[in-house]
Amino acid sequence: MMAKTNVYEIPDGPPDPQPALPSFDYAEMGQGGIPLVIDNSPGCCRAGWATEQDPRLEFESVVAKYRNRKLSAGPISLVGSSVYSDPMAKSSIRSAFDGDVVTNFDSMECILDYIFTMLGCVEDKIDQPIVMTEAVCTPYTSRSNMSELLFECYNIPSVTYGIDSAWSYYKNTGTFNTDGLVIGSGTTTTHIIPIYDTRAQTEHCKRINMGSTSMEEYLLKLLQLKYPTFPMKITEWQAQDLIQNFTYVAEDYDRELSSYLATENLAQKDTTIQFPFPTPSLDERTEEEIQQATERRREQAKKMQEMAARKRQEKIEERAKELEELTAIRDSKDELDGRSYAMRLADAGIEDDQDLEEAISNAQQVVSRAQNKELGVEPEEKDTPTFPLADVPDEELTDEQKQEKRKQVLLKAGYEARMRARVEKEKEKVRQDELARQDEERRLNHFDEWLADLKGKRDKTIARMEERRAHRRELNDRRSHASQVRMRNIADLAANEGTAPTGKRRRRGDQDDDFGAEDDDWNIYRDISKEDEAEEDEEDEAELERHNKQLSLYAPDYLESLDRAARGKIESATMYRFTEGCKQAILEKPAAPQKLDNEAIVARVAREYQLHLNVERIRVPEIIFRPGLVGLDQAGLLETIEGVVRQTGSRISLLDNVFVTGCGFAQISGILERLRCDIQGIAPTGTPIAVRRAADPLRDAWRGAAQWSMREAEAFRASRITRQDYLEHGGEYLREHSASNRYSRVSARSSPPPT
Amino acid sequence: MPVNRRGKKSRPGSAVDTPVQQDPREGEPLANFKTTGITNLCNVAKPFKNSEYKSGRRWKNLKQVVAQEQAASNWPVDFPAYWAIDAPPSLLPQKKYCDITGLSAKYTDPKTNVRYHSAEVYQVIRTLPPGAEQQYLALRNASVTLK
Repeated sequence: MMAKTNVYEIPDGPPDPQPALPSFDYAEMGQGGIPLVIDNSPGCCRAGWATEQDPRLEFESVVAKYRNRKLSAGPISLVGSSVYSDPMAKSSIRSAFDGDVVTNFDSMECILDYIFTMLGCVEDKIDQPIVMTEAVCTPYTSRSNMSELLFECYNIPSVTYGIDSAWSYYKNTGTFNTDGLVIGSGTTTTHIIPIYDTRAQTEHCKRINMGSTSMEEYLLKLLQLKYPTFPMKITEWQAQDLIQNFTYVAEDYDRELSSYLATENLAQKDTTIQFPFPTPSLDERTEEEIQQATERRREQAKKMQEMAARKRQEKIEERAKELEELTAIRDSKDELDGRSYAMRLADAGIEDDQDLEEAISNAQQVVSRAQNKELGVEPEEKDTPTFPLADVPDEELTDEQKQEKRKQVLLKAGYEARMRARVEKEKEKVRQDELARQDEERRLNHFDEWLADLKGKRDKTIARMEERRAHRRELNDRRSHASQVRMRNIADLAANEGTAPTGKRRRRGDQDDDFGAEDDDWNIYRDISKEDEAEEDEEDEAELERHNKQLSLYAPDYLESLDRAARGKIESATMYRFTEGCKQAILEKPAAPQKLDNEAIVARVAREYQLHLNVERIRVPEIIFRPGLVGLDQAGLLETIEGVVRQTGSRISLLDNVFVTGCGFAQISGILERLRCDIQGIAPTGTPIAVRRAADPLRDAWRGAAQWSMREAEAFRASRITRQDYLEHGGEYLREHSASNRYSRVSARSSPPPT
Repeated sequence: MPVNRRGKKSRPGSAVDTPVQQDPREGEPLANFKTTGITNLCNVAKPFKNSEYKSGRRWKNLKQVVAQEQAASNWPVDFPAYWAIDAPPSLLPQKKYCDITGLSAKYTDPKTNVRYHSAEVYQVIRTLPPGAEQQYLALRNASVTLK
């Protein structure tokens, strides 16, 4: 099953951030009270001039405020992706948002500083009307703080707040006069907002607390559980990358799920994610180079051998010289007088004649042995030693002889045992040779039988090893049958030992249990021991090796087919397909010998750094339709849509213009088809249904706000909360318009609420 | 110990933990950053800011803000407030999916409460290290937490 797989090499992280260059045309651009539009959302902040097509600034909505004495004496505050430029900044990265609502206005202040600075404002106040997005049904506190910041800190003349997805709707529809149902999916939330009677009807809108980060978190958790020993840390950025590139919404989740890991789908749907991996150290020499190296090694060995031989030769010559000298001394005995002979002996360090004889015979032996070895002559069998005293009765011997006899008896026994062993060994060798010959004969004459036998033997060996392994596994479990039998045996033995040595009874013999009378009795100790099996394992391992060698020699296909079968079995398992996709299984102990070339080694290492996305590809985005998957106790997208439409008095006209936007689920491919299909299921038959996505789900909110403030001048003027409004009505005050939230003046509770 | 405007000791780790407030109008003029670009915002003069303005507040998180706001005022019944627009719980029967593979789950392991797809997946559950089944349950917010 070596199918072509889709491999995606995932980058480490985003490209390094470049310091952003500020604009210097603030005065020109802002002439005549041109609004400054800020799409202030938790993921990405966009800001620019309402007269322009696209936002000037687009940056990640994060802030880092900290000190780093190495870089700067004063405090440092970074905004946008530059927070990743300094490792020190990492721990102080903050967002202005909690969920989809601005809660931290210190961070917000930094973001606004950044926006106004980058747009090139060098005046002493911000003299442009601000158009800014806010969360659907923003808490009053948040709006109040935002207005306070804008009016008090930046002295802005006016601000207009609106809902991002409503403005995105405007950008794509061109008007609020058309009814529609907006599905705005952001980083942490997804809103369903009906639009009719020329405005966003937030009183009927609903929020599912799920967005793009929910998918990232879910995918990360899934992958951590799927690959608990993965050598890399998967970052949030990478999770986001995977979601954008590989997830999709299934049109019919259950149907697609049921066959996702099936053979015919797997190769197409499984995606291999390759993480950066270290290159293994490889033997990169060519065939020729390897040959040369072995040649060199052989030559070196030869040289060493020659040198050793030369040294040995020298030694022999030395000894021979010595021998010559000694014999010369002996020969000179007759020619010299006693005195000078004695002196000559003393010169050579020898005491007397006997000593001399001994030295000569020693030297002779050494020289002849060495010469024999050099010539390759086996040392001939020594004469059978005699033990004359061994069989003589003690009575006929003196004390000294008795002692000698004892020694000889021992020596004799040892000698005889050695001889017996040698004979045994020879016999065994003959037997083995005979067996091998028979085997060989059988192979030549009855090959099929022989092969079947060999396979049978191999299977038996494997079965034996497997059995032992299973037994060992069972022993590890204290409650298994094998463990309990073992414990009982130990207990029995201990009980017997405990009673046996209590003196009198043993003498009387009424407790004698005949243990040890039969050889098998001793096996009990082998049974209760846990360690003995290593030796047997080794033997079987060697045997298996032998069988494999023969098989690969005479029936090479057989082992391959075994491996194929073993692999096939692994590869067909659901869990294997789930974690490894359609990659070829790596066998722990392949039957056929394998040689890994460099390419295969690299592939092996690469595989350890691979993830497989399959079920996750549809499982992750599915959470918006089934929040129960992540344990969120809210209705899914479809059910919520149904509820919202019902609340509006079942305006099924909304379903003819379902509009999807935002950076969350709106971006996932297949969501339009799924929604169309699902909505068809809940709407009355024949209802016209249309589902579409914003031309640019990310930027259209900003573009919509910009266009709306320029084109709908009347509405825009009416929507501006002025400084006077702020001072008169308080920070939470809102002037409603087509894309805005609702405002209602509320009175403070006189009595504290019941707790 | 840094002391903030109101003379209280600032709490370590709080979001307001900017030790020294500098006048935002001071700093190098923007023109100096024409070619280098802006990294540290503190280096740039921000003349548009009101140097008098300092919030110096400790910011509540969303949950606190919402709870406080909900309790503090008399909200009209049909007013779309932040807490009022949460999608209600589902009334539909929930289909069960395998906690390990995500495939449809016909069975539930009575010992661990983990839902599983087939006997093969069950073998995996049986060999899970202790505690791992809680991680699987945590995926759908069903883990048992001991307090």
